[in-house]
Amino acid sequence: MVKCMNNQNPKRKRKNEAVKGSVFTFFSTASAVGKTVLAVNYAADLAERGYKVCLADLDLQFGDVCNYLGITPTQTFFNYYDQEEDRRDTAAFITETQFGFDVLAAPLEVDEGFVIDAETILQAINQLRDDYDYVLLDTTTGFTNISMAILEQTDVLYLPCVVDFIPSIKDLKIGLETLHKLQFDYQRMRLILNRNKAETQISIKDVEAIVGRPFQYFISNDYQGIMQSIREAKPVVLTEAKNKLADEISDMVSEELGEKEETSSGLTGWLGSLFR
Amino acid sequence: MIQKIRVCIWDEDNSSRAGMLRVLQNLEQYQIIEYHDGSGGIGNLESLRPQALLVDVDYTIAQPEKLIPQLRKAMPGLKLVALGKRWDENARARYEEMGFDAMLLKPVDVESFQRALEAAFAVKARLGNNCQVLSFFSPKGKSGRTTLIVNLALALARVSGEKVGIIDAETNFADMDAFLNLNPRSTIVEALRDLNYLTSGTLEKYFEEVSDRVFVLCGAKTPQQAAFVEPEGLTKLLEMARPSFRYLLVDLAPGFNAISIAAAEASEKVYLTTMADGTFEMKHLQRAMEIFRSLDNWQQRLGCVITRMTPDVRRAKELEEEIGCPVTLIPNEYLLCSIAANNGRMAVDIGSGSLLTQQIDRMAFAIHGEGR
Repeated sequence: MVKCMNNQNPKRKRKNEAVKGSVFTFFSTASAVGKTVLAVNYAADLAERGYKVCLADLDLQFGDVCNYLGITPTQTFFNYYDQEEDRRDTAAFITETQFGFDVLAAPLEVDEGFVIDAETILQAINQLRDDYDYVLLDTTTGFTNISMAILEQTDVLYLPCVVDFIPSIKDLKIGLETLHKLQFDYQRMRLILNRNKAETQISIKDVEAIVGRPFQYFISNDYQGIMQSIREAKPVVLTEAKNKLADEISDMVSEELGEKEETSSGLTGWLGSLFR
Repeated sequence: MIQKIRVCIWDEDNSSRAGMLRVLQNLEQYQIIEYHDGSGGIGNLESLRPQALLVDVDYTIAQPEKLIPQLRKAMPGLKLVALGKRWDENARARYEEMGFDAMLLKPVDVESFQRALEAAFAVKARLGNNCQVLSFFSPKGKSGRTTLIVNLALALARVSGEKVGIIDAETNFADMDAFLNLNPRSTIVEALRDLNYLTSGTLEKYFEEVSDRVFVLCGAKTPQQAAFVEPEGLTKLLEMARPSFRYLLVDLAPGFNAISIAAAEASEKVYLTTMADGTFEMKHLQRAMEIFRSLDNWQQRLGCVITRMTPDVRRAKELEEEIGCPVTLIPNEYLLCSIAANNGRMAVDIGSGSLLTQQIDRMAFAIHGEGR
């Protein structure tokens, strides 16, 4: 059952048009760690709070945002790319969803995704920041020209990971070291342990010791709930039924927006994280 | 007393010949002799009774294709090693075609010399034409690709009784070293850097030994280093590695990029690997297939491996019809695979008799049966 949403109007106004929108990126050092699930739910939760949100699917070859939302876009990032540079306008290539946020869809064909370059992506992100309070970017794994360009535009980087076996931990450590070498500010990074308490032989404390950073968020392992959400094409944060995973994602959004009351320093959100 | 092998160096360049003699003269197994006549002819070479002849092919002999039959006729059983200045796969293949048993680059070092001689005298001296390159592609990650490759390599080595190489061409997070608990002295990055100065024999030194017949060329240690892995270099590296292995298994990063396309084009077989996770993996697989159908002879070259799916002959047939190429189903043995990966072992080693092992063995038998 989907919540009755106060965000059905796709032509909603930005909360603060004076400033450019924030860019939140979902990135990972290993695949299948829940980037798309988190991004979709994060977008739905922000929209539910009345913000104007666009989720751009930058997994250009095998993006799943539209699959997870059950939408069939008529316009995609490729159609945007296919315009002359000075005539590109993201507004013409957006797909509205019933969940209160918009989507800039990944190309429909693999070869279309292959040709899109970093400059075009930067151009699109800049335009989206003018039109939305929050621009959420769902990306592919790994460091490429495109992901480097995205990182430069990112205000907050969500880095979900799954502690399944040692090679994944090694990749996470290398990924964090690479971000450090790229001088990406750790204060803008949120390390998320997804599928917390899933079957694994590795202790979370050991992982934190190896990578040299604590996890900031813990998202429960709810395989059945996520599968049902994908089958029904409905973000879990919008379901009426009590759902721990939905609450955890919602808490994550609250904390980022500074809407959560309690932290050890008394400061919340992004500002609070500067002093943690 | 050791019966020494008589090796003759034929190089009309005096300083080059003298340099080689200096390097090789103290080897226990070999008696090094020299030959030159100033004319490039075989003159009294026969009277030296060499068992192996290292001959400079750049300056000393003008028409090796004419000379080699004369040498073979005059000295049956003579092993011929071409001495060149620069590695070039086309040249190596051409020399092999002419009848050379191995190729060495100048200046010659002891290890390369010994490897070349061992290869020349080995019963299966030339595997180059026999080698099959198998690339493993997946649309998205966490497909079980690396687990499949390390286990299949071991199974192929067992089934064929020959050497199997693994090349980790993952361009971001190469995992083969972590899977096999290796601390490699060199990786694909160093191999590509040095490629112009290597031969098949010397390239082998960049591979780490995993078992007596399985060797791995580990991937770049960091994403920054991976930037040095380029498609042209990878294609050349695969060609150079072929003579050393019966099978070469190439692990590729998820999705299409210049490296995965180059590897696919250089491979006899491309396996599209995906994990059955109940979402959109089959849709992605179909989309990837559309791209791979542009490969020459794609019907013979493409195969699919679906991991975390219980083997079922009828289901596999249905999927083959749906996807349009042979399908292998690999069961979900998460615990076995994670214990293996966490301990630098192979699942087929520690879980012999498991359904996973049986399926991987079947796949190895099918590949080897087909390749013979």
